[in-house]
Amino acid sequence: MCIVDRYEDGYFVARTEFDSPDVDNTVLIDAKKTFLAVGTFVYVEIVEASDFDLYGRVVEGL
Amino acid sequence: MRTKSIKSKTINVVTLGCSKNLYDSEVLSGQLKASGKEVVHEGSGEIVVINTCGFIANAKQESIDTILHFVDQKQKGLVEKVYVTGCLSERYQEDLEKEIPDVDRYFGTQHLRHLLKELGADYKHELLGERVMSTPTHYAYLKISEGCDRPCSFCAIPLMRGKHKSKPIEDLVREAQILASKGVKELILIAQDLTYYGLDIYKKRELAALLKTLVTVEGIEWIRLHYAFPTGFPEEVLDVIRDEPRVCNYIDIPLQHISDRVLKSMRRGTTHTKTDTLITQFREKVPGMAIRTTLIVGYPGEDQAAFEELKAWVKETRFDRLGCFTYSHEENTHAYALIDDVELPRLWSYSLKFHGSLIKKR
Repeated sequence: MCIVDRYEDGYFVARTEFDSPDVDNTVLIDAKKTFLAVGTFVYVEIVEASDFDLYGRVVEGL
Repeated sequence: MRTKSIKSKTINVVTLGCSKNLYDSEVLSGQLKASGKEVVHEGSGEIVVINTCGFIANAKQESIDTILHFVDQKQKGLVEKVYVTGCLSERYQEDLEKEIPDVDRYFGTQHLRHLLKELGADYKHELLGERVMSTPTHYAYLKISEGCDRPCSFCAIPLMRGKHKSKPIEDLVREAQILASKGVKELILIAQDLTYYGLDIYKKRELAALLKTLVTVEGIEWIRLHYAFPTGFPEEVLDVIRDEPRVCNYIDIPLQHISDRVLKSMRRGTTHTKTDTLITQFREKVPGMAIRTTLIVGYPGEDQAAFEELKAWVKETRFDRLGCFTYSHEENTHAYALIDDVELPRLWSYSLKFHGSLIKKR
């Protein structure tokens, strides 16, 4: 589960419970495919990883 | 500049440094707003309040540069008043008054009431917990105590923030309720030393009890712990992290180093073996918990052997999140009497190249 922090450069920037704002990694969700409200919790499947960030897509609740 | 009446002047609060400073700025802004003042955070206004950081060399320089910038703005007539508060001001007030006299007035970290009075506002105790948020509305920092009683040799925090002072659980719950009513879903607990919480006012460590109470606040879905201290870490906190779904499986625990010789000189009250035992305990009690730590490299007397020990330990321990900082030689700390003898190129080599390789491995 992730919390959606903000929209930035075509992505919704979210975080898992294992990440704190500003200092840890983020989960990037393509905003062209999904619209999300900032401040909401969503379930995300991680599909790709870079050095610092993860890329994911929103899935139905588990 | 067109002159406005005192009442209609906008106060621009500029915050430097850590989340604890941000919290203080939010409290200051809340008090000003309650007195009818117009307040902006990092915006523009006729009156500027700079909440400074005085922790390490880079942060001090940034604070000084910011003060000079606004003093220049004042000389150009773009702002009317410049006030300076926070850690740098607490630590170096006399020096600053001599060196940058164009600042209208300097205030220490304990002088909120005086600062408010200067700005034409009154301190209102009933506003406890009311803040003007500068984070996104869904998360907020919750400062559970102020100051620090630890004797860490390298740290200037006690010089600026004084002795440890916990806030009562009922006050923190009230603050959390107010935040939740404003839409906050995630609370990030901060302090100079989270582990010490309660020892001063309850005569025992009460972080676990605080967490058990905060999870009952309606609307708060995540509670996250930052700035835990390894020595005296209360084991029952791990039970709460494991058993309470609203407490994130996450802990930030600055460990600073692992060499026994360096830890002793740092006055950390722990050892390599005790630190490993604590991390093992974390992982056994809360499987899957993310452990974040920060380390200092280049502490005086950190020889090649100590440095290699640190590197090997970081590789073995496989932290989930890691921040690496270069040592800052701070006057009036215990370590200032030591010779600052470690060359910087080695530090950057470590903190950049090695860190990058660790990320790829994970």
